[in-house]
Amino acid sequence: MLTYISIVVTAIFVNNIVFAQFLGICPFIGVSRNMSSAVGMGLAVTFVMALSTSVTWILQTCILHPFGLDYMQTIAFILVIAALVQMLEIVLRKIHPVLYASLGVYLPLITTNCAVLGVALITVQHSMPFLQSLVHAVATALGFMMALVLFAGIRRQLDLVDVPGPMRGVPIALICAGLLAMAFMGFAGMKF
Amino acid sequence: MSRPDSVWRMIAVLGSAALISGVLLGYFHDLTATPIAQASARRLSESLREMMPSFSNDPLTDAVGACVDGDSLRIYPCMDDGSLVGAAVESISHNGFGGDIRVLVCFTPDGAVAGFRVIEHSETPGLGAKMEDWFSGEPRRSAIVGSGGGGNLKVSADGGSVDAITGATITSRAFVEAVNRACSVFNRYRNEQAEYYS
Amino acid sequence: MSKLNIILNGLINENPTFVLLLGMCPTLGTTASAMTGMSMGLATMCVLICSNCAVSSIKSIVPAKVRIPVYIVVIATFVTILQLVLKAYMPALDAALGIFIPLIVVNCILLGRAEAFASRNNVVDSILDGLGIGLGFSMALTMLGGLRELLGAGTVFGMMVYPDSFAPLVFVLAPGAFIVLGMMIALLNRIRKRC
Repeated sequence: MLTYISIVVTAIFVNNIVFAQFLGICPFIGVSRNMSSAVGMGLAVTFVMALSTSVTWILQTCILHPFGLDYMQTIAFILVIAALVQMLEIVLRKIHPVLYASLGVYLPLITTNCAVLGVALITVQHSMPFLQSLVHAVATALGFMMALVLFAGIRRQLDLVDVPGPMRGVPIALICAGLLAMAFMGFAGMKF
Repeated sequence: MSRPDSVWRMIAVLGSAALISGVLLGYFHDLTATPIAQASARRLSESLREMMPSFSNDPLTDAVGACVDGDSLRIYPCMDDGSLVGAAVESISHNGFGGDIRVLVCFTPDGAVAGFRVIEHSETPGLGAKMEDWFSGEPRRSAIVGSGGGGNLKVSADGGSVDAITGATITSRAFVEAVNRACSVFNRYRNEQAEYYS
Repeated sequence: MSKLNIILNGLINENPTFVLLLGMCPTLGTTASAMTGMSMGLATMCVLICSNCAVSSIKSIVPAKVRIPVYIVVIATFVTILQLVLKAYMPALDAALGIFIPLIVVNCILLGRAEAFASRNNVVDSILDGLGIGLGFSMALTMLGGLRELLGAGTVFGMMVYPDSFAPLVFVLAPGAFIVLGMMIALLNRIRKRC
């Protein structure tokens, strides 16, 4: 039990996917303009990450590794992720058209989210057992959503402030992200 | 497109793309398999050749595994004419600031530390990351090298004789722990060898 | 567009890092030093040139509906080839760049250029576009890495410029990446407004 708590806390705070590992930056900057899209994107990424880590874990353990095809990881994993996102799109359009409409163009972008592929690769690199890797993936995605929501709140405030010309938009957002990263550094070295 | 996309055409294109890709990757994998295996072995044998006296065996093939506290360390014995001239132990500590620290520690046949090299770490650049240079400089080096096989080195903050890196006590402690573990593993190996041959 | 203009376009007008704001993950993750930044940029450039060339060659055969999966297969193949070659002949570089090498496959730049340029232009132009964008990316990463290394460690490409005890460490750590990139984009915004 303690291992799982340790994994969750490490994945969300100590090794936050955005602020410590630099993965998932593109959607981090692109989607965090308002709170609702941030939360929606976060939930979609959580679902895709959990599903893709499970499937790629099974793929690695049952097919790639026993046949010595470890070098096919990159191409196999990204195809799995692309297929999963496509399926998610189709399912969501049928079941929940409202959510599908609000997520809009962000859904296919999850395929090129470095965080999803990154977590799948890290999981097989560290050879974690299945349940641990699932918990790790869900916790990482929650850390990503937390970063996104935090940042969305900050950017909404930035819109109300008088920012110097050249800094408007992405530059000031990046500097705020840097300050957030500095805050998260306070968690470094925490162990359970 | 001059004609409508049929499902068969889509499947054919995607399938042939996957097939060509698979063939290409298989070819490159076969091409690079040997160099990849050689690359990692080369780094280890280079470190051994630099730190150990001359030996005639291949320490990598004669390597022995040893378990301590749930981790398996590897011992690379160096022989010359059948007698042990030294050994290197690949040790690990999980208590680094940023994760695991792997250290290669070299020993003389009577168990004293002869040298060390940091193999892998995720420590803070500029602080913990300079541990190899820090501990190789005097007076830290003499506190470690030549120390008996007691495996009881400690940083000065814990009352020992080794100066920790300023501002990187956790990294220094983990490094010293890795060296101590290597010492205890090598001593156990020495005793086992002595019993075996006596 | 003339051949030279295609290359210059990728270098300045449509610089992937500072103008298009694509490929942020490796930009922040591999620029702790000028050397790793430059290596990452050049590695991405190699894959970009190959994938642009391949996509442009097959653009008339691929049905529109499956083009994205096919592009992904093409890009992933070249990324894996790069991975294998680096592991075999440059293991130190492979260790330094770590997980960002396989992550080239999800670098928005590659899929973006395949879709926006290579699928609409001939092979030669696509190769030149890959070269230009790749050089632009490498230049941006090298500049960013060099600046972070200079500020945070007092060295440039490993050569000491000033003693590192005077260097604020934050610039080679995570926050420094965000801050330096933000300042550089702001600086370029300012310069572009003037010209």
